[in-house]
Amino acid sequence: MSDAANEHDAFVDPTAWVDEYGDYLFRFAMLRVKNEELANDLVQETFLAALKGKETFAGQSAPRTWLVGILKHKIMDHFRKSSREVSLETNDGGPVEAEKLFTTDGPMPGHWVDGLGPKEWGGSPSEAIEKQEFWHALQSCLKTLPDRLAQVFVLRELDDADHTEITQTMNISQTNYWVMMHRARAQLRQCLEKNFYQGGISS
Amino acid sequence: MSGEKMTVMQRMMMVVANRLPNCQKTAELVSESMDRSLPVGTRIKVWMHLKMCSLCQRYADQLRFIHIAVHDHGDRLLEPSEGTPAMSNDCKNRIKRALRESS
Repeated sequence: MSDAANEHDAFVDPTAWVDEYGDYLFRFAMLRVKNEELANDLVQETFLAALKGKETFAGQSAPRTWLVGILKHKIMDHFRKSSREVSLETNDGGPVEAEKLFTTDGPMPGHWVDGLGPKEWGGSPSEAIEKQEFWHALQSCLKTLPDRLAQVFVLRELDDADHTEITQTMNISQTNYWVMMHRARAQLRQCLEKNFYQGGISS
Repeated sequence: MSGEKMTVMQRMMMVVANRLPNCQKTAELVSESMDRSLPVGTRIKVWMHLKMCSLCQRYADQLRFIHIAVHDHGDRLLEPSEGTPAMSNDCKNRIKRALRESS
């Protein structure tokens, strides 16, 4: 269905939004909150808010872009609220994979542990990006990250939020932010290496 | 004497190497440099470490690749696939009901 056609439908019957954009918005939410029930709720709130604000949407953007914008706000609100609740706990999230990569003793601590240093990936990056398997691997690797690490990483890399906005939303210190991003990237890199590059599906 | 000179050179190299961040610190700084620009002195130290350490150079390259993939092509993470759960029909119907009730 073309955007113009379903834009028309949407204003006649908002329930058509659900069939047209429900799955996309749900996947969008799931990448960020990893909880089905919560993702469903956020998508429902998004549609209801969209219905209320229908008049403000004068077709400046594609309906999906408009809905995603609303959903993004809902997700940020959710992070803000849930971060307030957990702010007294350790908020760097879960076991620290990134720290196991480096030696802690010996004459020169802080070097790559034998066998855990980054391996040659082979193939060109642009080829990898073209492959469906790469994205499947990346998706499942994102799921292995501790929740808070994944949220911070996605906010930064996927949603292009800057670090000041992220530290405020997630209620973390600046220092904690650098540490969390480092851990998220290190763990993702290692997971991709294992699941994509060494699983024999990269070539 | 050239022997003496070498010792001085070696000593200078040692001083430089000792002042450079180790691999763990370098990995942290490489990540940080992707979110903000580091002070010039730190940037030079990271650069020197990467010049001397092929593992960390590889790490930096791979991290940059992951950044480009996610940042520039991240939409592909939203394509439907076998692994990703879809919204259930029950839920869709629930939302439709809610929409009808409030319209």
